[in-house]
Order: sequence, then structure tokens, then C-alpha cells
Amino acid sequence: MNLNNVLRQFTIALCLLHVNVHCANSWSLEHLASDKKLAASGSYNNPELARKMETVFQHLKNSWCSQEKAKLIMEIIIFERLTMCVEVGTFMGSSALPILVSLEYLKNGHAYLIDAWSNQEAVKGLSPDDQNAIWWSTLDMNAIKNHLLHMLGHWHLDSYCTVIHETSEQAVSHVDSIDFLHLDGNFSKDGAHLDSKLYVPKVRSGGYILLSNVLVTANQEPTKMKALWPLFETCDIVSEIENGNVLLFRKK
Amino acid sequence: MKLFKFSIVFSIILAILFSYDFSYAKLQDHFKKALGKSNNNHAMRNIDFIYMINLDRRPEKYTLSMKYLDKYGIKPYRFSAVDGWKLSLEEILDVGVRFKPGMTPLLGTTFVADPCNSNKLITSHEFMQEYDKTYFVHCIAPGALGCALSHISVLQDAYDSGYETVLVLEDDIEIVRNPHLLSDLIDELDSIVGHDNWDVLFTDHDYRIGVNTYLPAYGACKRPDMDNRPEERYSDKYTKTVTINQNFRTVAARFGTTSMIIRRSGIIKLLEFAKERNIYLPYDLENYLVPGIKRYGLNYDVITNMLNSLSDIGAQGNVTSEKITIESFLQKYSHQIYQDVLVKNQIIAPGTDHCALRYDLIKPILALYTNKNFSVLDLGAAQGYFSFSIAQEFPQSSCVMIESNNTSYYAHHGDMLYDLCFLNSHLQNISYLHKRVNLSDLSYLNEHEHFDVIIAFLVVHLMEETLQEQIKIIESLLTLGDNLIIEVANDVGVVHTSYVEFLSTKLDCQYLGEVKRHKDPKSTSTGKLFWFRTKNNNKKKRSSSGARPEGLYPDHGEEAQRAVSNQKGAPSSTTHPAITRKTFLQLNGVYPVNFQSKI
Repeated sequence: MNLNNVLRQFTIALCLLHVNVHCANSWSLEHLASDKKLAASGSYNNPELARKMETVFQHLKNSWCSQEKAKLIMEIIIFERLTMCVEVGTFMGSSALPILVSLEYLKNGHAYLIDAWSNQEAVKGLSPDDQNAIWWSTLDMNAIKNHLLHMLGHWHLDSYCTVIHETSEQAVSHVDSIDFLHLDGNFSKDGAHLDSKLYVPKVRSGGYILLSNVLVTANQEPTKMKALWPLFETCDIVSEIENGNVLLFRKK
Repeated sequence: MKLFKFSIVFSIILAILFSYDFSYAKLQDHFKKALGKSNNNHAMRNIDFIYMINLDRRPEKYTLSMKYLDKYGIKPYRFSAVDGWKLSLEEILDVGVRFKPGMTPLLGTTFVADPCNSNKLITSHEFMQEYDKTYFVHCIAPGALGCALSHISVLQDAYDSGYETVLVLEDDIEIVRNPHLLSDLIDELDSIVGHDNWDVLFTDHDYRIGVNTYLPAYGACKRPDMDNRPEERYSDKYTKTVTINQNFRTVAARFGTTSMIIRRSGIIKLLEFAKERNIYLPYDLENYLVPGIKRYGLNYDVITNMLNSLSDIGAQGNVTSEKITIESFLQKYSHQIYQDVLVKNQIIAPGTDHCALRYDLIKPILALYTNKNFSVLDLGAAQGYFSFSIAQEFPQSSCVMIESNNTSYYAHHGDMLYDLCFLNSHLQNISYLHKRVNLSDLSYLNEHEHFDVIIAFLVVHLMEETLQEQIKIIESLLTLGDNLIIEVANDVGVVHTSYVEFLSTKLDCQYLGEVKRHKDPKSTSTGKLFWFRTKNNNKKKRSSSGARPEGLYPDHGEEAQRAVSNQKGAPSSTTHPAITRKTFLQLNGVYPVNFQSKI
């Protein structure tokens, strides 16, 4: 399967994924910790930052990472200086790009990009007749990973990340004291809950967790609800974007 | 080569077949003709034709409006309006938006035939997930569809007739200034922005809701086939108005379509949009979404909407509440509604949702207050099923209902409940606050009142949009009552549901059970009920009984048991309002009319 086919399948998947849209609360610099707001507003005068952000936004057009989400990721990492980043469910790297470009801008930090790139793992916990499972089971995961690697090379971001080709359960031992965690892994109830249970405790106090595809459903049931519990337990909600489909938490 | 040509032709035929939707007629197939237009007297300077949209069953509204206009020698053509309440299911499904791949799934409303009575429609509220199914905005009433179809039919007639400029009036107008002023204003607008550079001119300042009080719109409504990002919906396009001079301003989103002058360019844009996109929202909320439409309004009112006018959009007709009878109520609200409608403990109209199942779940908690005075706050009371049931079965209860119009459900929820209070006037222990309460109101209540029982069924997620705010509401309710019974859904506000489920594991809470919400056998919607016991967190607060329900469930504390034993033999009364007069007035109390304050 070539990349065009993958992208076409993305579009189909966007139609297949039943996302319940319910609310909106846009991200803004106001959500930053109070001591960072002033510096952040000043940093926007830096033309290099503005150019970098615009380049990322342009690249991500029509990808799964919206401009709103990319902006949030970049602002939170840059202005809060979050240098130890982890992403669970990197896939093609759409969300990894703003993470890594932010680290590159800071000239400091490292990101661990975790994905099993396995059809078998991607459908784990999903019922075989579920539309998500059907889609995930037919993807050419090698092509997708290669796309990520190509992107890292093209953007010269290799030195800012470690690509971990393992399941989230296997990879958890590689990371600790996380500043920024992006949870966008398995879509099944158990898988999403496990990711949350494994990784949220690894985030340091004051660190941030971005949970994506919160409203995704499988067989007409929302699957990420239980994954929210470890976050409710230990974090405060900072922002809700994409009509509540992406939530940003801060560890207490 | 022949085979190649054949395959191309065959592909084109297939493409046409698949792109055409055979199962639905087009919107224009349901346009109503403007009949009997022989009299050519329906014009004024700069306006080729004046229409007035009026339902056949509302002659009095037409007569009144004509009386106003007659003074100025203005004689609009009466367009016999499409009565949305008489549309068939087939017609309704034809005119709405069919959910397609690529559209944004929203919480919408669709209609299905009542399996018990094929002439009746059941309103179904659901998240869009079935492709090719027809949806409208959540809780739209058939009257609104009739209104939109009437306006669009008028536009088609104006287009077919070749009119350059028309004035379209609804039948609830009020004349504030001489309408002939409009002819001069058209001249002036032409000279300012150019003859071909405006599409619609509203003949008033905005939609009136009181004397010199208007109801502004703060953004665009969602449509599944449009960009629903907040930055789009609240962009300048829909929110920014620019004052041009002392007479004119640009108009972004606004409510009301009582009186509009429409240019041919506007007629074409509005018609094209309607035919291409079908009806999803009430007409006033839809026509500002038309791409490229240039809308202007006045800085003052010339012809505007009549205050407190009867409306047939959300319900069929109005009757003064004090004089309402069961018959007039059923006539007024003939469309099926959410809860079973209770009058004197009898169901006079079954609702779409299961109510008795939920009542059975909460009854054991209420029963713990038997022979004691206790207060109940019914937040989002809808048709009052629970409060009326509690007030009837527990005469020593005092139930405060909160509801309002224009909540996420039916447009006239608040009015309906007001009428139902009068139909249940034998109950001396109910009061009704007609208000859409927010966090600030709950904060006020927390400072001034306390309740023994709060029921909040499927309402918190509708009160605020974000989870952060919803959590604050729950926190507020937990301190406002000794017992909070909260219902959450499996298919709406799901993150809020998850939060309540999480909270139930952290606080003193009992899961009461899960109930099927809708009577529609195909519906998979359920509600989960949780009973949070917060008495120990509210030691300093006061409730009517001072008691905590006891004895039914095993894990109650010693302190609560003492509180209950102290209450045995407490004096009983049937007139013990749960709130003060100050609160009643502060939160727009409307029933009972002669509210007596608690001591």
C-alpha cells in the first residue's frame, strides 16, 4: 500500500469514526501557568517562532492533527519548557511533528515516540465487526512508520527523539518523570485505560497530559471514558479543544 | 475501443445513479404556491411586492396586522403559510438535512412515526450517526419547519414573478414608525452601498423581547454540513455589526425574521442555499449562514416584532395559564414531549421517555422522609413529572422546580410547565422558578438555601458546555443538598458521565441503576442514576428536615442516625415553602402567583 492509499484511508476513517461532539473551549495562552503567561506573550514577537509554527501548520493541513491542537502542543511545550516528552500512539507522526519542532526551537529536550505499528495491536480489544477494527486491520503499518521516519529525516528532527517500536506496555519502562505526555494510543476500552494507568503516574507533578480522541466510539460506545479516571484522580483539566475531543490536563 | 466507450458511459450512469438520492423528494417539491395574486395593489415605492405570511388557522393575527398597515394604505398579499404541525412524516424527512459522510455529527432531532398511531409523530433526539437519515437541530418543532418552508416558498414566488425588491412580513408585526419611510431608506442604502450591493434590509434594530430591550445573537448555530469550529462560529462574519450612519448598520447573526426587505440578489442567494442545503435550523438562524449574503438593518425600529405575540412555532396556540384546561393544554401542546404529562396524578399525555422507571428508583430515598417535612429541588424539571409525583405522594414535601424556555430541549418547556402548575393547582407544595440557572445562580442558592433532596436528571451537561464548568456545577450541587440524585446518559455528555461515575467511587454514593430512557424500542439510550449522600459534608447547612434519609442502605454514619431519631414526631405541614421570597424573586419565581415565604 503506498502513501496515497494510506492518506485516502485516513479520509475514509474520518468518516467512519463516530465522534460525539459536545462542547468547545478553545486553547489560549491564558491556560498557561501564571508565571509563564507574560513571557509567552512576549515570545510571540520572535519571528523565528512564528515562522516555525506557520510551517508546521501548513504541513499538517488535512492531517489528523488540527491547527488548534498543533498550536496547543507547541505553545505548551515551548512556553512551559517541557523537555521530557512522550507520545503513545505516534502512528504517522502528525502530532509528533509539533512536539519535536518545539523541542528543536528550545534546542533542548527529547521525545519518546511509542507505537507498535502493528495491525494486531491496533485492533486489540476491538470487536472484529467494529468499523474501527476493520480500518485498523487493513493498514500498511510499515508504510506508515516509514512515512514517520522520512518526515523525521526531512525535518532534521532525528536527534530530538527516540522511536520506540513496541507496545505501550513494553515501552513504559523506557520513560520516567515526563513533562508532556500525549496519549493517543489504543482505541479499545481496555487498551485506552491501560495506557492511561501506565503512563499518567509517570508524569511529574506540574506536567501536562494531552488526551486525544476522547470521544471516539467503537460499536456506538465511547471507549476512552475509563481512561479518563486516572486523570480525574490526579490532574486538573486545563483546556478542552476540538469540541471536547481533545483534553489537556495538568498533574497536581 | 467500443468496450472502453461503453465502460465510460456505464461509469457515468452509475455515478449519476449513486449521486442521486432517489429516496427523498427535493425541498422545492414542498414549496407552497402563492395563489390568487390577481390584485396588484401589494406594492409601495421601491418595493415591488409585499407579502404577509399567515396561517389559515390564525385569521386574528392577520386581521390585527392589516389593521395596523391599513392606516398607511399598505395592503400586503396574504400568503397562506405552511402549517408545520400538519406536515406528514414524509414531507418532514424530505425537507431536512440528510446526514452524509464528512458531515459533523451533532446532537440532532429527527422524527419517526408513532407505532401506535401512524398519524402521530414521535420526536427522537439522537446523535447523528446513521448516514442518509434526516436530522434537524436538536429539539426543533414542526412549527419552525412550516415557518421556514413558508419563507422559502415566498422567495420562490418572488423569484418566479421577477420582482426586484420585496417586503416579507410575518403576521405579528408592530408598526413603530411610518412604513413609507422604508422607501426613502432604500434610496439611501442604494446610494451608500450601491444598488447591487445589499441583499437583505431588516426593518428594525434587532429582535425585541421587551420595551427597548433586544435579544442579540452571539454567533452562528451549528449545522452538520458547515464549519463548526468556535473560531468560525464566533468569527466577525457572524458577530460583528458595523454602524454605517444614523440609519443603517450591517447585520451579522440575529434572531427574528418578522420584517425584511429582500433584493433579487438576496432572493437568489437565499433560495440557492435552501435548495442546496435543505432546512436544518429555524429560518432566522439559518439565513445568516448563506455564503456572501449582505445583510443590513436599521438603528431603530420601523416595522418590528410584536411583543408577547402568540407563536405557533413551538406549540400550537396560546391560552392564558390561569384559564387553561386539560383540553386546551393538549390542543396547545399537541406534539409529543419528553416526560409523561401528569395532571392530578393521571397521565394525560404520554411522553417519549420512561419516567415511572426512574421514579421507582428514587422513591425509596424519598420514602425515608415519610412523616417529615422535606425540601426537593428539581433541576431541569421538564414537564414536572417528578415534582408533581413527589408532591402528590409526599404531602409533606416542598418541591421547587427549575425550568425555562429555550433550553436544549423544547422551545416552550418553561411555558408548558407553568401551565401544568395551574392544572395541578390542587398541589400546595410546589413552586416554580422560570429560569435557566447557571453557576452564579447555584452560588446564590448555596448562600441562601439548602435542600434535603436535589434531583438533576440529564441536565448538568446541558447547563454548561465545558467539562470544567460541568464539574463546578456538580460541586455546587453537592453542597446545596443533603442528597443529590443525578442521572447521566450513555450517549450524550459522555465525558461528564464518566466524571460522575468516577466521583461515585470517591464519595459517599450509591448507584441506583440504569434505565432505558426512550420508549422508542430501537433506542439504545440509557440513563444511570447515582445517589450522592453529602450530609456529612454539609454540617453547617440547614435543610427543611435537618434529616438524612436512613434505614434503606447500610452504610450510614452514626451522626446521621441521631439526626433522624431527633426528627421523629416533627410537626407536619403542607405549606412549608423550601425557599425564601427573596430567592423566589431573585430566580424568577412564577408559581405560585401568591408565593408565601418560608419562615
